[in-house]
Amino acid sequence: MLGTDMDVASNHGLTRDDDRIFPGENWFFYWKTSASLWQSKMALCPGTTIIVPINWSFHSDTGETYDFAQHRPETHLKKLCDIAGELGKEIIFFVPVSPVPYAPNGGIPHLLARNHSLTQEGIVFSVVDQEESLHKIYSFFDTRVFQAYSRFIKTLHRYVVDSGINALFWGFESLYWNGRESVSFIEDSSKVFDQNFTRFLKAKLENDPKSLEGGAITPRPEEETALKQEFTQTIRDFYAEELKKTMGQYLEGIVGVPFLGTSPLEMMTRVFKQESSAFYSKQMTMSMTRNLLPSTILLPQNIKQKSIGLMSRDLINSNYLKWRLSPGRYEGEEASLYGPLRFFQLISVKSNAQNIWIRNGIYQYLHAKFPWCYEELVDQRFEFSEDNNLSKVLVISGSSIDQNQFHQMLKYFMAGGGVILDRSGIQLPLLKKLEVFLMENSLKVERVQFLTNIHHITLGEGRMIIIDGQQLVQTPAEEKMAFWEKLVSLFNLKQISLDLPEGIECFWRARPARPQELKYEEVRKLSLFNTTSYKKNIVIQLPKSFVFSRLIEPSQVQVKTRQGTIELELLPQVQVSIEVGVFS
Amino acid sequence: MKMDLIVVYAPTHTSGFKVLDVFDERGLIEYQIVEQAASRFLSEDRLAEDPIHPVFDQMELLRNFSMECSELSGHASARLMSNEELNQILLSVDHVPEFVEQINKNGQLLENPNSNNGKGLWGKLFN
Repeated sequence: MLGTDMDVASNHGLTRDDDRIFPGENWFFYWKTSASLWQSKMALCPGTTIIVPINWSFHSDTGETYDFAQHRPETHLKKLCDIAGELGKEIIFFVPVSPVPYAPNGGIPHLLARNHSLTQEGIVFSVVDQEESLHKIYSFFDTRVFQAYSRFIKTLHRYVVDSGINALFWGFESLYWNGRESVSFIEDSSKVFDQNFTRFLKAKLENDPKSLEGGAITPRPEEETALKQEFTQTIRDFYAEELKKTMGQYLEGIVGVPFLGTSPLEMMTRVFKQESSAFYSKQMTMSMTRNLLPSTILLPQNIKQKSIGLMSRDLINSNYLKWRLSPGRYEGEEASLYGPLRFFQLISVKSNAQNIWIRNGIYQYLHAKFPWCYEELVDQRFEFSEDNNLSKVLVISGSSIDQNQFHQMLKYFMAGGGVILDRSGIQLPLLKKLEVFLMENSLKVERVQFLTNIHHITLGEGRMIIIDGQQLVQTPAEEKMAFWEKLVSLFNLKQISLDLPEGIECFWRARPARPQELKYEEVRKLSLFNTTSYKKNIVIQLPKSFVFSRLIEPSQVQVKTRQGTIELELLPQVQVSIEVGVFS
Repeated sequence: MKMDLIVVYAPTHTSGFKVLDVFDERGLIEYQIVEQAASRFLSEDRLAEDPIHPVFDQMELLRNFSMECSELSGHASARLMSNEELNQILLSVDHVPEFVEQINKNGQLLENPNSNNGKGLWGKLFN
């Protein structure tokens, strides 16, 4: 069982050598140190949970034969778990389903490293690690790699069963950020990708001659992009399914891990050491809105000593890791673990995720008024169940919903949830169905013309607002803000409005009130990080339904509290957290 | 480390040359400079297609564009490198310092005709 102080990890005080082994977020690179030092090294890890990524290439040079404790002591993963147990720590094993950026050859066995992965620009996909090594990524579209991966997973599974390892196993996919899009390390534009893409098209055509426009093996350019995405997704699923199928009940799930600083666009910046800590902070918070597990392990030590390191320790290590990887494992007092505070759930598909929310302006509005207080589901399905927490407002893009999602949305509304539907791009039959639904249930529709056609429908506690985001595209930014302000106010969300100076990052978390806090509905924690080299002053006005509870980590912070107001002075590169109680 | 302005290009399917990346010794490039330099050699329509990754029909134009970029950014010279050449460098090194060293040695060196003792026009004006 994980302890309450679990991941209150700090990399402060770790030597350069320790940073190689514990590069961040409690990841432990067991192959970078001798097994005889595992105990003394793991004892240094400040948290109680240690993430151990299994290094495929370390257990096999060829992809044919494997060493799990037969020859080298550093491959003895059972011993690793035993030592961790003796130290009162728990291991979570991470098994890759994609190339990894922290190991040579993207983590595949040496003999399989034959086909380089290429970026869209035809450049060898390379990543700079925290020690200035350049790791070249190899294609996962090579069928030999997949066959060897399958053998690796089967051997690993057998070893886990035979050795009696009792630990959590998670699959993970390496990602990087390209603007607002998270991109898998599997994505590739190499020749081996092209060859297999042609085979994919042939197979698709044989299977269903109508599946390609005109029945031609050479798709039109506009069709080709979508088909390449489909093929890439198919291969991603192959690897993920192979892991799920083989590991069975041992596997908790698969999580996406964006490794900060690994995008091909960032490579030159990193080569010339021009990266800044502040640049990565948005990638970290954005990762959390997508339920991904951001990692700073490839950033150099001097960057991790700045605000991004503070954010990693406070936001990721201290409880997001536990919240994301071990939900439901905590009972009693631990059930009141802080989780991200979320008022909205944005649902879209990958093809329009980059733009839809920016075009209609809700993204900019949320950033200003509810920074990072939303969950963004991209290419994921929203499932309604009776246990659904109805406190979040569902924001759905019409172009991304099919019949099933449409029904889930209506169920959520009928159960008392709030919905904002941007109907632009919605399939006409669904629009017709919506009209029928409103008529059949004799629901009163309030129609307002305010920058766009707005339909406002209420049913008990449920509230649905339908807009046409397309009509907002040309609207000036200020008017869009006013529009969303008005619309969102209908949902009566209780939140403290922040007016933060530039360079201050924030993140909100919430937990249920504990028995001794019964006067509160819930407790919220606001963490503030000064990512700049300047002193910053912040004033926070507490609305009536909020009460200041306490300040956490107030060193290097000047604080003045007056009735309903908190004034803070943050020195450069420091953080502070504020706990507030919320009254009903 | 001071180095030449690096211009990386890739041949296109239509026998042209597409600029993939332009970076200086800080690993950075002002997109404005790329756009401004490209506007000297491309029509407005062609430029509008992708102003930060301009496509040139002839190698000579690409060379002139590279020198224009170096001029505008204050570099004495530019190094023109194909994606293949950059890939060969990437594949031959395993560490960042070696990589930086190699990109300073490879590619086609183009001296900026307006350079003044290695300081370029920008250097003449501001130094």
